Amino acid sequence: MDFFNSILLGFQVAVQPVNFFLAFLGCLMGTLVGVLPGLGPVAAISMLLPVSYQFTPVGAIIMLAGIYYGAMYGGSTTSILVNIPGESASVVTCLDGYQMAKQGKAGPALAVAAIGSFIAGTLGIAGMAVFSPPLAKVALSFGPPEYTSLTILGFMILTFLAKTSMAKALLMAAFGLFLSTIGLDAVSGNTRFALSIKELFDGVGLVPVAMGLFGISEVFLNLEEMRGRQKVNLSKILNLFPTKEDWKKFVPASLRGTIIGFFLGILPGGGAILSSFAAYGIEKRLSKYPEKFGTGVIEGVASPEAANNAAAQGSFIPLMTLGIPPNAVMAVLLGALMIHGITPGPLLIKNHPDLFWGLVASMYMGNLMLVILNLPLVGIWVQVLRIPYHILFPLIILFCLVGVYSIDNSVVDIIIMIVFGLIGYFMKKTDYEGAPLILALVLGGIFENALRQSLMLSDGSLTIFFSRPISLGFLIAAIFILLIPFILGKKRLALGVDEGM
Amino acid sequence: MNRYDSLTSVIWFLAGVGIALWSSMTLRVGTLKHPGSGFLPLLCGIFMACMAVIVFFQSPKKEKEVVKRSFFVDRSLINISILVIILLAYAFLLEHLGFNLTTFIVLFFIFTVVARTRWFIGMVESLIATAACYWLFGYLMKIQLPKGWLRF
Repeated sequence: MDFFNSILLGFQVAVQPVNFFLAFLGCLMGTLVGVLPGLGPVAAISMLLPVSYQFTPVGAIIMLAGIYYGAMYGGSTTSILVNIPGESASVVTCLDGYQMAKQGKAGPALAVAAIGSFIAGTLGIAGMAVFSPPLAKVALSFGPPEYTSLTILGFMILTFLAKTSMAKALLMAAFGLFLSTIGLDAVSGNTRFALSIKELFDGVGLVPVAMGLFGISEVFLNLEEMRGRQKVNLSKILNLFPTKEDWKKFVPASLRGTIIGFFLGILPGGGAILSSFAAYGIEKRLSKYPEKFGTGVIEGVASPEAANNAAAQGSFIPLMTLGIPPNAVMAVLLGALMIHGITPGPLLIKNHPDLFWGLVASMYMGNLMLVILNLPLVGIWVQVLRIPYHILFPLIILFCLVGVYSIDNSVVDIIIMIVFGLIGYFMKKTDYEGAPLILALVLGGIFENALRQSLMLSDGSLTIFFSRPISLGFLIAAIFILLIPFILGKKRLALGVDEGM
Repeated sequence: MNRYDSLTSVIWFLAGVGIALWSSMTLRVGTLKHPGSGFLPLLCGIFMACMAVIVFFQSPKKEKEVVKRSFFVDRSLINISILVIILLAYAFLLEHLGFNLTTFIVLFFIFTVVARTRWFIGMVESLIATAACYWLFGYLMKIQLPKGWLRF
């Protein structure tokens, strides 16, 4: 199937009324999640996973993807208007966006964020459509050793970008791997660590763990700040359209942000946050007036907003072509696809072209919907911020409880969610991150099978991982990443923010 | 670094050692040539213990290196404990009392005890939230929600 026919197939799938509605629903939910601080796309996607069982795999993934890129849009609204980043990828937008709002330029700032995001989203999708098929072809030559090494590389990159300690992130990845081994062993048929609880024979579910780590634990944390929440002061929106001068400044900045965001998004561990910070930094360095950044410069809004949206699109590439999620959001999406009986990887585009190209086309339409949702309805989104947390958190808990129960009608899943809610709370308080744990839990099964098959193929020789060029390349990259902190004198990348939470 | 790193690293070290022992004693670890079902869990346990040792040695040893702040803020310990008990109660009561009654009771307690709303407002909020949730999950999405002893 050639490129044109593939795109056409995608649009045929995406314009089906159900899929169109699900894309809209995803964008709507994503914008809501992006607006609300303390509820990230990982938690939202986990919460809505059980709901997605009602739909076809294509419809489900279209809706869940909509939540992710919708959250990127929504996050900018509150960053600009009230200086509260709804989404961690929008933290950097506060710097100049809120300053613009204070100067009475809230309208142009919002428009620039939305249009810049639209440009990035559109180009990002085009990049996804162009880069994914050739990458999938290369990945077809992967055997168990390549998958083992690639998974190790994925763990390394995600742990390298951990905001605190790499050792802590690796510890969490190992714990996640252990959790993935609970239940029946596919090779020997032995039951492992199930404590005679029959619900654990199928393993620890991704949804209860993710909901606990990212949803319930966030509620526990927010309970501490419930009394001290600040009141929202809304800047007036006088005029929505940027001037001719603004257009000249922000379009090139958006294009630069798109390129940076897209390629950083593809890298495992990259993601929207790193991209937005990198784009802002580069934009400042390239600017003729770097000293004005932070005082309400339009490029300071356009570039990071474009970058985080392009990264959101780019991060689908490793998931769809290699089956390797580059960040926690993609890890949950990988779990969602697997629950729907679809294994992402090199064969996905060939075996499920409707899903891949339908997703690509729906993302394009979703970007249009988001411009419509974000600009005229901006007043409504800001009103959402005024909902008191003492009303919001019981509803979040209720949604988690019902959602997690409805997966298997299992009370054990509720208990697992509560336990991981507590574990997640203590992890956050002591600077241990949940993203490596979730990634390892999702990839654990693939990793264990690939590792055991590789060792059996090589009669127990570890050289199998070093004698095959692609596998060797992945391992060299993984070792390099492990050594970077020592090479740089143990200096860590100080991002100061966490992916997807 | 976090001021609790020494303590948490000891906990994770013990967890890692526990996992390694549990794997090697209850499962067949096998060899590199024929890895058994306990192979990966054993590796995970050992790796966790090693990482915990690194975290321990990286942890701040001097008082001035850490930011002093108490672990629990104000009433948060009480609030979180109450919330956990309420959520566990939900898990245990759900299939006995049924979805509607359990959800209403649990929401009422969360609204009034944790969120500290007035009991009448809490009751109205719980009623609306329960009805909306049943409408969404039970009626619209046709998810089988437990009816319990009262068949309600």
